[in-house]
Amino acid sequence: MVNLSVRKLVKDFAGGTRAVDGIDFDVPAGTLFTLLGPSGCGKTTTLRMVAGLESPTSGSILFGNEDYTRFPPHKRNIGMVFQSYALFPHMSVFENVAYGLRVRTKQAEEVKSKVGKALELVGLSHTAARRPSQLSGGQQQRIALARALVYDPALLLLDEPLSNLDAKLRIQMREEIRRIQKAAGATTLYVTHDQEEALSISDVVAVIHSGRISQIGKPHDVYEKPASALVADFIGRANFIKCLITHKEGTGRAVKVAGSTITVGSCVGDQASFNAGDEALLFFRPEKAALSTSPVESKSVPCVVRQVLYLGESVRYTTELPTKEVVQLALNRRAEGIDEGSSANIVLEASDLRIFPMDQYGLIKRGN
Amino acid sequence: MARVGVPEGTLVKKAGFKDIDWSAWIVLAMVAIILVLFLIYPIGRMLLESFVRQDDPIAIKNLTLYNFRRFITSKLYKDAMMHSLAVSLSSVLFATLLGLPLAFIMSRIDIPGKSVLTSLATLPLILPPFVGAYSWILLLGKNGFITFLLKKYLGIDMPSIYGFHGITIAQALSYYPFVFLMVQGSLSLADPFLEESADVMGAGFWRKLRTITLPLVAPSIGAAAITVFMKAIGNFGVPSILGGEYYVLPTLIYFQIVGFYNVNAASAISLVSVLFSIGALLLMRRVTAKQAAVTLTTTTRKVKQITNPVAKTVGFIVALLIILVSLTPHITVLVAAFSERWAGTPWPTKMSTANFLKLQAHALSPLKNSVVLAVVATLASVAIGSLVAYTAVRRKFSGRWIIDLAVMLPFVLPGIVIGVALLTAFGAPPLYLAGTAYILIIAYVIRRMPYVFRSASGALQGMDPVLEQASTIMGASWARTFGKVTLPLIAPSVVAAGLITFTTLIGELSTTMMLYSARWKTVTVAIYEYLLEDLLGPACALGTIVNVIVLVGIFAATKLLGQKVSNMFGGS
Repeated sequence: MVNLSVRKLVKDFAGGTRAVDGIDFDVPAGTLFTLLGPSGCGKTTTLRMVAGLESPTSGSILFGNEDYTRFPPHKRNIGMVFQSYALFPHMSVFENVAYGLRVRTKQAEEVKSKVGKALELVGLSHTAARRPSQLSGGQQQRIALARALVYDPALLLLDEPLSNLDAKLRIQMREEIRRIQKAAGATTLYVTHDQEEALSISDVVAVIHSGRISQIGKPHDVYEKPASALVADFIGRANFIKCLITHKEGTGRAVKVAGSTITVGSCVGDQASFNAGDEALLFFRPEKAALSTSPVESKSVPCVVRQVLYLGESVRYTTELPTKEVVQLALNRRAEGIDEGSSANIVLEASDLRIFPMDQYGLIKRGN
Repeated sequence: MARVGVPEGTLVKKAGFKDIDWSAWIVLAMVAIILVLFLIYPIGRMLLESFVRQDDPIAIKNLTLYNFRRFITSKLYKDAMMHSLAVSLSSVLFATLLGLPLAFIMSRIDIPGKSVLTSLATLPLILPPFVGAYSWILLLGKNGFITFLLKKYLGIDMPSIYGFHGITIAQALSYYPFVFLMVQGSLSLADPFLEESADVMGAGFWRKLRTITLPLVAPSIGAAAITVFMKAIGNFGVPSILGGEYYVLPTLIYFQIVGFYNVNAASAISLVSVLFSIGALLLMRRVTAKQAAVTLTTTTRKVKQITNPVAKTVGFIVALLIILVSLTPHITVLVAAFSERWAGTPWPTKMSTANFLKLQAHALSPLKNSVVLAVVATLASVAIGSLVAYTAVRRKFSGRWIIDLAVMLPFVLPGIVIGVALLTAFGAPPLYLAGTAYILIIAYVIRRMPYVFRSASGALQGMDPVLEQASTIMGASWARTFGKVTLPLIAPSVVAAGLITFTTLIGELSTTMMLYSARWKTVTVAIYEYLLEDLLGPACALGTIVNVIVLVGIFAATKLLGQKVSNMFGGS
């Protein structure tokens, strides 16, 4: 197992499109690192450059302290699981898994025992003699994983491996992938557009937009402390409300929202630059707010409830502020005495709030 | 490349000689050499030769339009050109008259036995046209059975079968399946709602046919007509047997080579003939471009079939008649092969296997030659065709146009023209190959490789490239990936294309006639020689053997692909 380092990676496609625009990251040995972003953001191109299937326009790719940027893919010693699994339809499951070992000219005995162990790891020993077409989607997925891991590659690459599975199986398989990856101790680069998948499976997540990394961090940091409105908006659901900074005290801020004053807790990083008198975007997650019939000092904003949707595990409230801004709330139980048309107060805790510069307003999607 | 942000002391893994995958480049180079040496060079050489006089070397000062001027000065040349156009256009006309009604009946009328009828209607396309052609001598020749009947009972004197009539009949009957298959394809793809909406608006059958159905399939009819034209204008076998003194361009080329060994004149005639083909091809491009816009249908509903019993009966009889007429020459060859005496009577007066026994004397070694040449050329076509297909489909590089050209050319160039091109290139030192088996094999490969190419590139396009990438990622070299992953997956298509290649090579006449020597006489040349000596019986027996080989090969190919014969030959 080695560290993977990617330095200032750039990829221009013919026709001048810049798919990857200077990406930097490090994957420590044994960790699962995820590139997360919408389709067309450059995450798959980055993965394919690490694999050697695309060659970078500039920048470097290092395995440990060796520069592999221009090294041919078949000599890189990597394992890869493709979106469509790419199992060889004309070979049995056993032969599929054995392929990488045979390329490395291993003894027949060794091939047999290693394939056996790999199939055991993914819990599919009984399918060795079958053809890939006789397996279910989830089984094919696990065979693809076994095939990629069997020869102990320096690096494991997974390209949207769960996107062809149905929702339930996807949840099951992402637990399975994490278990197998940890058992094998493989340094892993994982690509997905599914933020829930990324959060649940990864040690570290890099959020990519338009060929650049917007934020690198542990899953809970990326979710709870997004570095920008863009990241906040892409991962999970988000509310953005225009506000005015009225008071600055250390890392704390007081902001005016629709006539009410609210306290925002420890502002660090980019947020630290906000001063009294600045306009800003106030951000919070729908599930981090509460609804109350009575206002709470420095914590609440008045609203009118427009719609209540009961979703079983949560109740979704669509509310409107006096400024006509729409705010979504997701509560885990119905708020007593608050129905469609009621006036109410949105209660927000200082530590759940973040502020972003106004100029990011244009980047976020509207109307959710 | 600037190594930005890379720490000091990082080892750069440079791909060493053994790390680079040379196999792909070696194959690419091989393919390029083969295409340039055996296709681009001969055609270029032929082009130049056509602008100098016989026995003059190619040089600026020798350039002349002399060879082309003969199309104005010589009656023979002028006539041949006019004859070529006349027989080709009339073949198109009659092929359309036969193919169009059959296409309509098979796609719109609910008649029994469609699958069998379709296969039978495709047969004339598969069997070598010149084998069927000489049966017309038996039927409509001076002592032909039909000629005899017409004279005896109706007092009609048939015009000679040699010349315009014979060539037109034989070619139209061989090529009408192009019209049938292509038009049937687009008739069954046409959006049924269009016709139904015409119905609702009150259009009757004939109005609907005239205003909706026919205009919709018009591009297919056009494309089929042009295909027939190109086939007909390049055909050597039929006019060489039924032409007599009636020269067309391909027979004139043959006459220039065999009579005077005038490659310069032959080159010029070839060029003129190719110009007609290219003109037709350009026309086809425009026609099929329009077609793409028309046949796009989003519905999966099938076209409604006519179930009226009268229409069914009439339709069935007409379809059967067309097919029977088109199979008549092939049936005649089969019967004649087993008849000892057959002149002027409806049925042979004596049946035996005597004709086959006679073959032992002269036909065994040609048969062996044909098989050897066809096998070697097929293997080479399969190897080169699939590698070229792989290169074209999977590799991005700027020289793609060479491959496209190399693959398109043999579709445009008649066999006899390729024969002339190879003669100009290899009929003299430094690379003297005339008369050898090599030149025949090269000619066969050049002509047939594009068909393997088409088949293999179709299979490759249907195969997900991530399978190959997966193999590469797991450490396999290009050669291993190609051998273990790519080849096994495209094998059925490639083997089927190989079988078809083999069968068409067994029946190959036009290129062979230009290039063969006594040592490498093929079975088709042997048939031709029997015909020259008026030995129709043995010719038919040998033709039957060729037909059987062809049918077995095609049958095996269809089984392998799990496809109908009609789908493999131009059916859309």
